[in-house]
Amino acid sequence: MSTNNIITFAHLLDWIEGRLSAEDAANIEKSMTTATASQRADLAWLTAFHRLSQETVLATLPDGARANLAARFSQYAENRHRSAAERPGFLQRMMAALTFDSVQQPMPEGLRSSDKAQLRQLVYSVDAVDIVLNIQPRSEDDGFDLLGQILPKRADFDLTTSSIQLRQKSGDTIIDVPDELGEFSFQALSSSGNSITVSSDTMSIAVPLPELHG
Amino acid sequence: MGNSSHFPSDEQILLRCRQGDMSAWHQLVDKYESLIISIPLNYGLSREDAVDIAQIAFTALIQNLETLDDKSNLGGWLATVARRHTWRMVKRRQRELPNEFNSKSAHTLLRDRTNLIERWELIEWLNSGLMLVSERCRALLTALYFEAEDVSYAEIAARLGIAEGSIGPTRTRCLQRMREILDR
Repeated sequence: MSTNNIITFAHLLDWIEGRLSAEDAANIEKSMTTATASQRADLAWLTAFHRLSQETVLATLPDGARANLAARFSQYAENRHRSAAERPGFLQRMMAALTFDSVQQPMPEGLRSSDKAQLRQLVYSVDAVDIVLNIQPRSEDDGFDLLGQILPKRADFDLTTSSIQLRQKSGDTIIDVPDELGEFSFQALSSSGNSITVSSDTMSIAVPLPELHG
Repeated sequence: MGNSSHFPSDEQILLRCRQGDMSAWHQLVDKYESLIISIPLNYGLSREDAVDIAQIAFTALIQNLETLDDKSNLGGWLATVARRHTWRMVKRRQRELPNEFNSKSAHTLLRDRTNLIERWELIEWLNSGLMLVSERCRALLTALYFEAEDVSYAEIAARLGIAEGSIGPTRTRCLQRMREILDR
């Protein structure tokens, strides 16, 4: 174990994981001073893996949780082709109506138009929820940051299992989930081509965003 | 060591899930459950909280099956939902149980955003390697390195139906294989 050509991947693994005698470990350490590039690369990989394994726990879902999820998927599979009329209460698809746009409001006396442009508030509504969007231009680029809030109006909208998906003009989608207050956020939106979908167990709400202007 | 147990691609899984294929759903859960549960576990949350967060993430995916892009990275999508819930849960636990919830990893990583992102990426890298080795290698490496409690060689040998003396050489071969896969 004192020459490079017999320092194998197995030797390095045993060395890193402390399974070598003190003498063998010292021999490996000495030999590594003249190690080949391949051996150094193996050592680096094993070192990284060892460190990660010390810090990481992986687990699996308990049987009950898997069964719950399978039941939800089964419900999705059973109902996906049925029309909304045939599956009342399950995954209603709807388009939210814009009920308030701060840009459209008359300017209070004495307020400059540039002040009003800093923050734009939009409110969308369906029977079950109001969705408030506060959109602000970013100082570092031409994009916009969005802070939203889902305000349930009915008990059948469950915030804890809902999600919000932003689809951008580029086709990229970003997902967020609301906190206990219903708040969510997205950063660096482009000025156009954005749409939001709010999803829960029982409904999918499309929220079409207007052109955003700085 | 057995043939490599490749999972179908995310695109294939997504397509079949949209067709209501339950076996595709099980494959999706098999492929990503460890990754998704590891996120809250490694931030000091309890196993119960971690299972709750994982269920929320997979449930959100079901809700969005029809609207996801065909080429979506399902693991990344699920991990994003899990991370956001984990972040909020950790902060909630710190408020509710300031004396009891004192996770060192949570404190350290919540403070340092750069390490946080790097850590998540490393766990995703690790999970991708485990998903691409054979089922036997995956079981062996998980038992040796990634269970919450140490598992004896005797128990591992019994679980996998192998001789205790073969664990060392098999471990080496599995790690070499994982390295080859991840380095491609």
